[in-house]
Amino acid sequence: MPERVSVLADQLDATQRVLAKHSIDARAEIQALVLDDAALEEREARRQAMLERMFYLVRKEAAEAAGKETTESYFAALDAIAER
Amino acid sequence: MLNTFQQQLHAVLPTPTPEEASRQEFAKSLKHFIQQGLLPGLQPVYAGRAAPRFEKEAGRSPKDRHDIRKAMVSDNYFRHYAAVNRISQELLWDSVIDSIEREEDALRAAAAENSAKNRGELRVPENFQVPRYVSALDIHCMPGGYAGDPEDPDGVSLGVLYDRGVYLYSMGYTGPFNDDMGRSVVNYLKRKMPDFKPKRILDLGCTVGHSTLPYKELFPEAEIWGIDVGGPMVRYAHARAGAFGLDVNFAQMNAEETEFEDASFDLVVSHILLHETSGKAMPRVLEECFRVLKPGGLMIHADLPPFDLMDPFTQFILDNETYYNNEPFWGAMRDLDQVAMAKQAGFDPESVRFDTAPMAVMEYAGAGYTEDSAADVAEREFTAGEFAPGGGWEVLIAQKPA
Ligand SMILES: C[S@@+](CC[C@H](N)C(=O)[O-])C[C@H]1O[C@@H](n2cnc3c(N)ncnc32)[C@H](O)[C@@H]1O
Repeated sequence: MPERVSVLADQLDATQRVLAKHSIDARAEIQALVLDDAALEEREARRQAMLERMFYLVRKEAAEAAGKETTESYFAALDAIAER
Repeated sequence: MLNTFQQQLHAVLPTPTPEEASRQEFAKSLKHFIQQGLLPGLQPVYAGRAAPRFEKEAGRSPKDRHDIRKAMVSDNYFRHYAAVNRISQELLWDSVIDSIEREEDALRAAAAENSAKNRGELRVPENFQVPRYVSALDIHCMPGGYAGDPEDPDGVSLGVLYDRGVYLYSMGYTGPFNDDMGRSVVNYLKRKMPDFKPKRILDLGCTVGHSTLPYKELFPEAEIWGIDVGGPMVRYAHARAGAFGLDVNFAQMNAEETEFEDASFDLVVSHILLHETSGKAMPRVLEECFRVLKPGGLMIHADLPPFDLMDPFTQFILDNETYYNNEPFWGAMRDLDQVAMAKQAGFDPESVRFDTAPMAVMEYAGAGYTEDSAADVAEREFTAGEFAPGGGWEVLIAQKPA
């Protein structure tokens, strides 16, 4: 994770420096950027999707508890299939 | 629902850099995810594995919120939830502190300038005694708490921290001005008592005046006072009101014992104050309300409803605030008989009641507040552990005999 973040930060920094060579002050423009509702929604959807992936395993536990999918019931189901 | 709510910035708030803004948005998104993605799993985890485990060990099923806590604290899912919840809280305050420190001098100057625009009074006495239940803890884990450092007589940065932090904490559910509670109570009054025209209004535990300002907006002729034990809070509140062009009085005072004369207000209100006081202080606050109200005057406290209106699992979820969010009185207060306490303070027994003031958040449009998303917030079912009761604010109402 930290490695990934560090790579991303370097890439962003490089992009801004390259743009500066072409006389585009990306930093200032980013600072001045006002996000419209569509942009806000796109960003929020991306963050929620990322959190869902991060917490996938934890949430699976709750889903299993909800479905009473315990290990026992899983093996019971396997046995039931095997016995047929 | 996608939460894209954005706070309305004003002259006494810092302008975050893009990086600070991203960190703040992340803290808000994480809180949203916890409430929408993790909180709903607690019930199935409890029913599916924690309760059976408790039954096996104790030989009986969990009977109240204390049993449920015992059953849950050792559960991995619950631990995960509680830890992330706590971390989100810390991330949130951290993300705001940086922009405040960067702009500290400018904010101080902006506060002075905007405070001067507010023609209302600002009273900050020397040697004020902050009650222990406020000074002893950083409630909501907010670094510095409400009272801050008494050595810093004109600091407002804790007020700024609260203003921005609470917006993120509540994920924008209380509107771009953080004022949904006050606005909802005023709307409630206007709807239920159209003839009631209070001339003098007191808001107890006003913090930075989020809920106070709607009273001035909707009763422009009235004289409004907001009081709080936090010095940095009332100083900032005074400046913030000025920034919005409103003349509102603020003072550092204790709601248990104010400096106001007997029978001098038509309306005394508070918004989520009571649960942050203590078992001893709360009846004193109600008695003080009675004292400063004119005969026939009205007292309204907006807070969460008492426990006897909820099932034990809901109680347990709310109780978590006590353990993980430095809110010591949160759970205990809900066990108290608030109606009896108000009667005891002298209020007309016939008048004392709980009611619901529907959320006003629907009135906003723009800056992420679309009709649909605001409706999603305002029309939710009540879900313990989510910020703000869906539907409306629970209010305790009482009238002083005429
Ligand atoms: C959660 S905040 C209230 C928020 C505010 N009413 C609003 O609607 O935005 C609780 C506030 O109550 C204040 N407080 C606690 N005990 C108090 C007391 N005895 N007198 C006055 N203020 C008090 C705290 O300093 C804190 O600012």
